Amino acid sequence: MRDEVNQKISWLVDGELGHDETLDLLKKIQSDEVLKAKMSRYQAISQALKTDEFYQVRCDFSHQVFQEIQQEPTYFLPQLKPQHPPQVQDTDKQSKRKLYAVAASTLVAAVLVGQSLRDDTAGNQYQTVTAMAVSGQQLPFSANQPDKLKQRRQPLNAEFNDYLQAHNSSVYTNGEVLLQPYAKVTAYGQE
Amino acid sequence: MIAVRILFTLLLAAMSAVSAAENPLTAKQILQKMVKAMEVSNYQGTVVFLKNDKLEAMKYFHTSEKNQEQERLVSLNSPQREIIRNSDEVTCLYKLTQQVIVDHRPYEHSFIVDVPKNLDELDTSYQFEVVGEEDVAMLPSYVVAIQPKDDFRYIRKIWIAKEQFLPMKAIVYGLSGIVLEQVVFTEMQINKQPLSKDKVVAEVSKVTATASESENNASFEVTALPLGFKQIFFSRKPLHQTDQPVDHLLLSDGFASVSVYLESKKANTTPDSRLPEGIHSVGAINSMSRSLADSQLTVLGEVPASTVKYISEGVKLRNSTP
Repeated sequence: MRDEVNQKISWLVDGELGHDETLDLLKKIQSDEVLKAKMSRYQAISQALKTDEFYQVRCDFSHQVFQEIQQEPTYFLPQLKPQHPPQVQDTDKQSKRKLYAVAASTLVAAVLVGQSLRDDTAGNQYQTVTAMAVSGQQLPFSANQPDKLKQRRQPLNAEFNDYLQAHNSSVYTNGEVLLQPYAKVTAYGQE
Repeated sequence: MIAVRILFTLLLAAMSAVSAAENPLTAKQILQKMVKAMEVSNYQGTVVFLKNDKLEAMKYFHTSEKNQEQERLVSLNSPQREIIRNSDEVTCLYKLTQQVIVDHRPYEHSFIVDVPKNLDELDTSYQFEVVGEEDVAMLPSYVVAIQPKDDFRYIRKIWIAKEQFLPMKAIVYGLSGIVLEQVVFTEMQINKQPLSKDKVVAEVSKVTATASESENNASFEVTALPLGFKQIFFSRKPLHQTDQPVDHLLLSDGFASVSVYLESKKANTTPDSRLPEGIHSVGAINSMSRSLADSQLTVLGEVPASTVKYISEGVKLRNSTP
């Protein structure tokens, strides 16, 4: 019996023991101090043979890790609900739940929309609009987003473009084509 | 006695050399050297602009001869165009449409980066620091950070070539640290001789110079400005396709500039062409439009949205009764 256990410990250390037998053996080792010591010796021999190096691990190392994990607080992280196959018996319950969910979502949406409309009409006249380039190309979302201001995209306004042209030379480097001739525009001679 | 003098001179020279090695250049000294190098150097390269949410690569040429500078940009991508700056005159040639636009910009000095000559005046608004050394276009460069002392303006960094003291890269960061604007050389070479200056082959019959008028001529006044901003330019001229004049006041703190526009509300404009009230953003540019009596006020500049809102709220019509 002892030889058989020793053989299994050897296979375990070499990673050759099957899953079920590994579980059985670990249970036995956990309750038997002699087997624990033997397991430790086998691991030391195996490690020394394979790597020429040996690191002594305390017998209660895994137990201490387990204890530490037990003392860790629980964090409730949002997780996706697993998809279960549809069950015929729960169809009625599920459809009622769906109905309640839709009703609750509609109610929340109605409250939020109502609030936003009220905010807009109650003096929130500084509505932020993120402009787009004249070419109409879809731009990546603007990096400059004031936190408290809502933003909505719309094509760059002609008036905005005129102001931008008067402000600095960036319209020339940008290759804007709808520039205003407020300075001077003329056809140039093909001499 | 002469031997002692020579020894003393050599000792002083050695001490100054050691002192220079121990006291590297400050950020302001590097920026001042950059301003000077930009004036006197003849150089060219390929530069990439990321401005107003658009990316453009262009060939860049700078010529300096007899105290006269010329900057020239040639587009690598459509629409094909050439932009030339001679002193305060900027000319843009669109080759496809055969358009020539001549514009006067007395308040701008460079397409790459505009840095004021007197940096000490900016101490109230910015602090300057050398934050590292990096290679740009294979040229070892100082990294100079221009950090604002409040939230009214953006953070900037300029990469300056250690040997040539020319700007290799400039970035404008948003308040959250996101890149809003960027200009970077991908290659650069110094020309020992000035290149022949390019001339616009065009029949520009008449160019109306935009002279700065007194700010007192403006129909409005700006009562609240963030620290460091000054009024530097005012003009009244048509900006749109109509003859209607627009008051334009340019403000600057040395790095960031803000324009204030005031014009009467146009009855004949379509809602699509009119700038809606509120805040508008494109890249680093933010603008704020609102009604001011029978006029439309727009404040626009490369500053945070909160700054244009702050300035616009301080604009009042002259001689208006409260």
